[in-house]
Amino acid sequence: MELNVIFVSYNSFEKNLFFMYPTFRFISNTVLLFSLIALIGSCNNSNTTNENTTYQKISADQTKFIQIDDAEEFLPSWSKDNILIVNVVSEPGDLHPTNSHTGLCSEIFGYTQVYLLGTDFHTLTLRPIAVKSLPTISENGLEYTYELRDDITFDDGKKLSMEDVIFTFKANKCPLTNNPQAKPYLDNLLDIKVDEKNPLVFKLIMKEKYIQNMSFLNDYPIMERSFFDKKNILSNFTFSQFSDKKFKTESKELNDWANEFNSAKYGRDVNYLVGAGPYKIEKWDVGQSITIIRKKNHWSKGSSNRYESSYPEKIIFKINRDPNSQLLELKSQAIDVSTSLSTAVAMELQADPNFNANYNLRYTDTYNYGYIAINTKPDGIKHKKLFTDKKVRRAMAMLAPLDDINKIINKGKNKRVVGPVSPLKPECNTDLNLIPFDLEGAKKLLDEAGWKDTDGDNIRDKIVDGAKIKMEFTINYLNTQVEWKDMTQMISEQMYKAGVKANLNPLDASILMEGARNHDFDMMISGWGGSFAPEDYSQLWHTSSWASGGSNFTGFGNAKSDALIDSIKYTLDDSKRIVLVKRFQEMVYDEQPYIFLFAGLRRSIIHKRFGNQEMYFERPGVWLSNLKLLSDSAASK
Amino acid sequence: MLKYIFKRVLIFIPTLIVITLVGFIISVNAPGNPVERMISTTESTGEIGSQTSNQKEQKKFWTEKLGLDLPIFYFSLTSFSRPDSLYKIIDRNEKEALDRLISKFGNWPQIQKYSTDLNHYYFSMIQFSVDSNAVTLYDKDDVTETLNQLKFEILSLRSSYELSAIEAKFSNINLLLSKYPFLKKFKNPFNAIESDFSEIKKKATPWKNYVPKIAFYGSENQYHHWLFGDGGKFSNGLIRGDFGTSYRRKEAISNIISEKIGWSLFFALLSVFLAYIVSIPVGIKAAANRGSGFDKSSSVILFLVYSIPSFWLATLLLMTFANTDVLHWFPESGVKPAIGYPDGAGFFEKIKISLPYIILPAICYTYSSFAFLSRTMRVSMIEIVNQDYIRTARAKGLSEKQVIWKHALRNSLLPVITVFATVFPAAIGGSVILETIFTIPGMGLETVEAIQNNDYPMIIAVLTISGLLTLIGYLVSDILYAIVDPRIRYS
Repeated sequence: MELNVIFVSYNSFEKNLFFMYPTFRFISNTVLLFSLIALIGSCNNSNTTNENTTYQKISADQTKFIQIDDAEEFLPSWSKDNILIVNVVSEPGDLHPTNSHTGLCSEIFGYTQVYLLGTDFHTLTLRPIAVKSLPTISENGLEYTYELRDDITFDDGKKLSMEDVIFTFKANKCPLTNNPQAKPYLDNLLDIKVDEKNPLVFKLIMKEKYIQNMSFLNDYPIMERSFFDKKNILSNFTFSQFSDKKFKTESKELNDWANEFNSAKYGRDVNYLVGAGPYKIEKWDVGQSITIIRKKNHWSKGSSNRYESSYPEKIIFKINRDPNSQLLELKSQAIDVSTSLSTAVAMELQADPNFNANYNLRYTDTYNYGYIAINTKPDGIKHKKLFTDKKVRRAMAMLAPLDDINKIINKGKNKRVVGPVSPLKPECNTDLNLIPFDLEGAKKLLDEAGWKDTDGDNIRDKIVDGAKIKMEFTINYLNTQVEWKDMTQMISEQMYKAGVKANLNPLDASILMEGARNHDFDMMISGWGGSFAPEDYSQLWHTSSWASGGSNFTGFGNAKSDALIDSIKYTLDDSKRIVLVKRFQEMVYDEQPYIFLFAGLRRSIIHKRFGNQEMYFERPGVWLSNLKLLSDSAASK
Repeated sequence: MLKYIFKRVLIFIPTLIVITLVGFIISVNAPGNPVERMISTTESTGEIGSQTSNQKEQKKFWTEKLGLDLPIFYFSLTSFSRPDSLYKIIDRNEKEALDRLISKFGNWPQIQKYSTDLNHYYFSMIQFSVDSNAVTLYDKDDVTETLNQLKFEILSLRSSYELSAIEAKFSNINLLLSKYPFLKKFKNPFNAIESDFSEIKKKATPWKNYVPKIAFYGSENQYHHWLFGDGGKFSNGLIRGDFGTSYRRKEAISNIISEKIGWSLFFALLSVFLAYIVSIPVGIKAAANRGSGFDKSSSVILFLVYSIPSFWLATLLLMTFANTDVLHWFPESGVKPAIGYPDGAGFFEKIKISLPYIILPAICYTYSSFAFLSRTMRVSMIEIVNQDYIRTARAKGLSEKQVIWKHALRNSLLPVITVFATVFPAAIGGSVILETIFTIPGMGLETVEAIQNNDYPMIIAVLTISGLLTLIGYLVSDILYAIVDPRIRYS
C-alpha cells in the first residue's frame, strides 16, 4: 500500500485525494488533501455504519461492507432511465492508461480497463481479474506464477494475451513514458517470463521478497499492444534494459514510440481511450461530465461475478464542486450516487423526509487518517528542543480535546484513531487505548519533565543546553483548510490553560510539506491515505526516512523499530506479520510522535431506484456497474 | 487611423515581451516545484537509500526534460562574485544556501569546493551502514540514532547558510563522529569540509558582490524555448502559435484554453451587454432627473446590490430558484444537461436547452457592474448637459428627450466605453467562485489550478493572453472613442 499525504483535493488523488477509487496507489497529491480533509474526523475499533433511517436494514457482513436491501416499491417520481449519474468534485487531467494518476482516473479505469488483480470489497483481499487465480509463490518469495484467462478480449476482438501484459509493464517501466509517479513501484519487478509449454502461464520475477509484490498489480491496467505499439517497438527492449539506470534512451524508434504514446490523444481523445473493461468512454464534456457507456457483446456478458457486471447502460461522472448545489441536486434527484458530500450537507439531507424516501445514505470509515506530527528531534537552533521527552509529547496529546473537536467540527461522525494502523485492518492493535483529554494529567507530566512556569508569565519554561527556553511553538497547517484552523485553535486554547503557547501557522501545501521533510516545524497537521493492502511502514516510520529527508517527519524510531519495520516488509505470512505490526503499534503509541486524530469518513449516497446496493470501506466506496435499475422496464441487462 | 492602429499594434510586441518575462520570472521563483508535484507519489517501497536515489533520478530526469535546468533568460544581471551556473542546482534550498553564502563571502571558488565536498560526503554517508558484527559491541539504538543524526546534520548542512547554524552543526557532527571507532574513517573527510569552510571565511571577498556583471547564456534558456520551442519536446514555441504543454494535464495548452475560454468569453460579453442595456438608461434617467426620487432610490438600490458578494448572491439565487423546496425554476449546476444535448441538435436548439442553465450565472456575472456603470453614465451625462452646446440645443426649442438622446448621449458615452476594454481580459481570467458554484467550464478554475500546481507554461500562457487581450481592449476603446466623438482624431 502506498501512503498518501492527505492534502489534495479530489481532483485527483494527489496523494490526498483518495477516496474514490479502486486503484489507489498513485493518488495524486492534490486531490487527496481536499478529500482527506473532509474525511478526517474519532477512534474505536468497530467499523462504522451510521444508518440514517430505521426502515432500511443493513443485511450484510458489517465488518467488511454494508449491504442494503432493494427498495420494496419503485416510486412514481423516480426516473426509469438506466443511466447512473455520479457526483464527482474534480475532473481528471487526462485518462491515459499509464500517465494518469488521479483518483477519478482509477475509478473510471475500474470500469473501462482490466487489471491482473483487483480488490475484493467483500473480503478486502486481492482478487484475480485477468488471471485465473491468485499466484503461487516460490519458496524464496521472488517468483509469482500466474495463469492468464483466455476469455478476455479487447474491443477489436483480439484476445488479451501475454504480449499485452508484457507490453504494459514495459511501457510503464520505459524511462521515456510520462509516468514518474508510477515507476518506482515497478523497481522491484525484474522480469516477466512466459512458460514455454503454456503461453498463458507466466512468472513475475521480483528483485526482493516483499509484502506488496502482489498488490502493486492493482495499479496497472493491461493495454493492448497492437493498439498502443503498432510496430512492436518495445519488444526490442528488455526489462533489464529499462531497469538499468545507465540505459541510453537515444534510440530513435523508442523516442518516436514514446512521443506518440505520451501524446495527449491517448489521454483525451475518446477514440483512443480504449480498454478491455465492460464500459468505454463515450463522451467527455470538459468541466461538465465524463460519460462511459456499456459495450455491446462484451466478453463479460453473462458473468455472475459482481465485479464484471454492467447493469447501468451509461454512467455519467458529473462534476459539481459546490456543496450547496450538490445538496440541491440530491433534493431534486438529479444525481444518483455521491461519495463526496460534506458531513454537514449529509446531515442536513438526512433531516429531509423526501431525501430519505429517495436515497440511502451511510457513513463508512476509510483507511485514511489525520494526525498532528511532533518534531521529536529538532535542531535546537531554529526549533527548540521542546518535545524530545516523550512525557511532553504525551502531555501534548492529553491537551488535544479531540472528542470536543469531533463533536463540534466533525458533527460527531468521525472516529478517533489510536495509531497508524486503520481500525478496519485485522492488524490494528485493539489493546491500545485512546488518550483522553486530561488537563491536570498533562500539567503533571509537564511538571515531571521539568517544564515549569518560573517567571510567572503563564508559559512554562526549562533550562535546556544551558539556556532557558519557553514552551512556545507553532503548529503548521494547510492554509486552505478551515476545519484544520478551527481544530488548531481549539487545541491551542486548551494548551494555554496548561502553560503551553501554541501559535497558528497556516501554510501553502508545498511549503508545509517541504518544511515537514526538512524537519523544519514544531508541530504540523496533515493526513495519510491508505488501503486494505499490507502496509510497508518504511516510508513513514523508518529512521532512514528521517535522515534522508523522507516522510518520517518527526524523527520517530530506533534500531528496534527499524528492525521490526524491516521484518514486517518481508513477512509474507499474514498471521506472523499481524503480530509484528501490533508490536510496532505499541512502539509508536509509547513514543507518541503523532497526536493521532480521526479516521477518514466517507458519506455514501445511492438512489433507491437502483438495487444491489453495497457500500465499501475501501475506495471507491460504491461499485457503480453492479447497481441495477429496479424498474421492470429497464432493469434487464 | 490605420497608421495609428498599426503603430499601436507594433507597441504590443515589446509590451508583451515585458509582461511575459516578468510573469516568467515570478512563476519560476514562486515556492513549489512542478517536478516535485509530478513525482510526488513516488515515495515507495524498498530500501530508503534506493528510494531516495530513484526519486533523485526521476527529479533530475524530469527537470532536464522540462528544461527547468536551464537559465531563465538570455542573460542575467548579477555580481562579479556569482557564477554563471548557479541555476543548474536543482535543489531549491541548496541553491538558496549557496546564494546566501555568496552574498556574505563573495568567493565562489571556495564556496564551490565546500559545496562539492559536502555533497560527496553526504552521498558516501547516506550509503553507509554499519557491519552488523561491529554493532553487537555497542548499543544498537544508540548506533542507529548516531548514524541518523549524522546523516541528517549533513543533509541540513547543505541548506544552511547562517554562520552560527553551520558552526553549531560542525560541532554536533564532530561530536557524533567521535562516538564510535567505525566512524573514524569519516573524520578526516569531514575535517577537510571544515577547512573548506574556514577558507571561505579566510578568503572572503565581499566587495565582489558590489561589482556588477552581465552573464550571457545564449539561446539555451527557458524563455527562448518558450518563445521559439524546445525542438518539439514540450513546445514548438509561441512564435509558432504553440503555448507548450501543460505540466499538470500533459496536454497542449492551446487545446485547454480553447476548451475553456468559450464559456468565459460568453459570460463576459453577455454580462457587459446586460450591464450596458440596464445601466445606460438608468444612468441617463437619473441624470435627467437629478435629485429626483428615482435618482436617489436607484442610487441606493444599486449600491446595495453592488455591496452583495457574488458567492453569497449566487448561493441565494440557487437556494431560491433551483430548490425543490422553494422554486425549482432553474437547474442546479452546469451549462447543459448531464446527458448532453440530443443527437443532431442544432445551434439554436442547444441555446434553448442551455438557456435555463445560463440565467442565474448571468445575473451573478452582471449585477456588480450596474452600480458602477450607471453612476459613471449619470456623472458623465450631468457634465455634458451643462455644456454650452446643450444649452444651445435647448434654446433652439428641442425637447428634453431630443436633447438627451440626440445631442448629449454620444459624448457622455466616453467613460462608459473605457469599461469595455476590460471585457477581453476578464474572459481569460474568468471567475473562479462563480465557475465553482455553477460548474461552468471556464478559465478561472483552470488558472487557479495551474497556479496551485506550479504549471508554469499554463500560467504564462494565461498571463500572455490576458496581457494581449488587455492591449486589444484598450485599442478597441480608443477606436470607439474616435467613432463616438468626432473631435477625437488619431492621425
